[in-house]
Amino acid sequence: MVIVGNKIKKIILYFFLVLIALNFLYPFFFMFLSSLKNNPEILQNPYGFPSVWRWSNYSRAWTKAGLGMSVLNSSVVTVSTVILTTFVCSITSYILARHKFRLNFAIFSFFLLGLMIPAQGTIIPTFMILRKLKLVNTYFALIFPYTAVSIPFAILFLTGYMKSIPISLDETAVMEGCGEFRIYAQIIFPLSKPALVTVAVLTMLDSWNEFLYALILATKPKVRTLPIALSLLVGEHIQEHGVQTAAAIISLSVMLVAYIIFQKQMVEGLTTGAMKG
Amino acid sequence: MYRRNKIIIPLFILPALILYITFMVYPIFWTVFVSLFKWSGIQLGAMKFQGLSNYIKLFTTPMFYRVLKNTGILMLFSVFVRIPIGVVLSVVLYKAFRGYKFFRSIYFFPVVISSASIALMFSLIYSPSMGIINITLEKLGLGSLSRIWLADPKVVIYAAIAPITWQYIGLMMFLSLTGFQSISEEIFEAAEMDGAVGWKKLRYIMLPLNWDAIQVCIIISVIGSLRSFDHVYILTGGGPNHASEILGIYLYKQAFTVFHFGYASSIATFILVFGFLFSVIFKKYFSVTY
Repeated sequence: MVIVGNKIKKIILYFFLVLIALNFLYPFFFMFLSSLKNNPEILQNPYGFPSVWRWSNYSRAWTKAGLGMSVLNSSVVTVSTVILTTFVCSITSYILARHKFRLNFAIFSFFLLGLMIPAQGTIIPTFMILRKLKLVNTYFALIFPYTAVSIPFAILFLTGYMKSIPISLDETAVMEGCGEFRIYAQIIFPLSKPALVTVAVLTMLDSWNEFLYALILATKPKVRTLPIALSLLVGEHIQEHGVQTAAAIISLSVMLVAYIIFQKQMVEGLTTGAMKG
Repeated sequence: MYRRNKIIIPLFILPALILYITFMVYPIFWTVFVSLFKWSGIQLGAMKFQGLSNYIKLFTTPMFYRVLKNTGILMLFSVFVRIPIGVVLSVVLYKAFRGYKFFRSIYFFPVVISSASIALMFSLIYSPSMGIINITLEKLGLGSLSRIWLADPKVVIYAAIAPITWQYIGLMMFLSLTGFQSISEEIFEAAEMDGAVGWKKLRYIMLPLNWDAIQVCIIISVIGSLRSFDHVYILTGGGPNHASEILGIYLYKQAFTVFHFGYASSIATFILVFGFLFSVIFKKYFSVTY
C-alpha cells in the first residue's frame, strides 16, 4: 500500500512540475510558432505548427525592422562593457584583496553602496554629463554607465574570491622575483577565472537586456540596442505578428544559448547580487 | 608579510573609482540636490532654488497617489503572489530527485530574458484580435469575457504587471533554495524524527529557518516594484489615461517628456529614500533569530 501510495504521489508531483514548466516554456514556444506564420494563419491556427514555415519573417525582421543593426550595436556595447568591467574591477579587487592600507575597507564599502542605487536616481544627471561630454548617442553613452552599474557587484564578488586564494602563492612569487604586475597578471588573474566568468556573464546579461539607460541615452538608429528596437515594434500600428515575434526570438536566442552554457554562473550571480543589494 | 609596492594602489583603483563616481555616486547626489530646484534641464543657469516645494507639490498632487496606488498593486502581487509561488517551488525542488535540476533551470529561464522580449511576448498574448487569450476565450464560448486587455482601464494595471510577476518567480525560487541549502540537513532529519512531517515540517521548521531568504525576497520585491519600468512602459506606456502608470513611468514622463527635471528628481529621491528606509526598518523589526 505504502509503495503504491508513494508512486501515486510521485505521479502527481511530476504532473504539477510539468504543468508549471509548461507555464514558463509554452509562451516562448508559442512565440516561436507564431514567428513562422503570417497574420491569417495565427488567427486560424493559433496553437498548431505552421503549414508553411515562413522563415522569411526572420529575414524581414532583420532588415525591415532594423534588427541587424541593433544586434550589432548590442553586441558592441555588451562586449565592450564586459571587457571594461572585468578589467577595471579585477585590478581594483586585486588591490582590495591583497594590499593592507588604511582606506582599504572604506573604499570597499564605498563601492558596495552602489548596490542600493536605483537607475532612476542616476539617469537624469548621467544624461546631463554625457550631453556635456558630447557622448549621447554614441556607444560610450551606454558602455560607461553600464560598467559603472556593474562595478559594485563585480568588486564584491571578485574581492571575496581573491581573498580565498592562498597568500603564500604571492609570497613565493615575490621570492622568485615577481613584481606586482606579474603577481596580478600571472597568478591572481588566472586563478580568479571562476569568479571572473561569473562577473562577465552577469555583466553580459545586464548589458544585453538593459532598457532604461538605452531608451534615454541611445535613441538614434545607428546606436539603438535590441531592447529598444523590440519596444518600438510593440507600438507599431500595422502589426505583423510573425515579424514581431521573429524579432523577439532573435533577441532571446542569444540569452538562451548563454543560459544553456552559463546557467550556473547566471543563477549564482543573480542570487548573490540580490542577497547583497 | 613582505613589503608591497604601494605605488600601484592608486593606479589600480582609480579607473574603477572614476567610472563609479562619475556615473553612480555623483549622479545620485546630484539628483537629491536638484530635487530642491525648479529646473527644466536646458541650462544650469535656469535653476531656481525653491527648497522643499518639489516635495510639497509631489505629496499634494492627486496623480502621485494614483501612481502610488498602482505601484502598490504591483508590490502586493510581487510579495503575496510571486514570493509564495517561488517558495512553494523551492520547497518541492530543494531535495534531489530525478529531474529536479531540469525543472529548476526551466523555472529560472524567464529571469535571464530581456524585459523587452517578455513585454513584446505579452503584447501579442493580449492582442485584442489575434491574442491567444481572446482567441482561447472565444473558442471556449466565453467570448463575453474577452476584452482589449491593454486599453480597458479596469483591468489594464493587472494585465500590465502580470508579466513582471510571472517573469521573476524563478528568482524567488532560487533565493529561497539558497536559503534551504544553508540549513543543515540534520536539522530536518531531527525534526522528522520528532514527528514534524508534511505541513508541520513546512510550517514550523522549514519556513521559519528560511526566513532570512524570504526576507531578501520581500525586500527586493518591494524595491523592485518601486523601480519597475520596462514592462509597463513597453506594454501600455502608463495608459490609458494613466490607468497603469507606476512610479518609474511617472518619473520618466516628468523628466523626459515635460522636462520637469527638478520635480522628477524629487520622485527619484522618493524612490531612493523609500527603498532604503523600507529595507532598514524591515530588517530591524522582522529579523528573528532562532
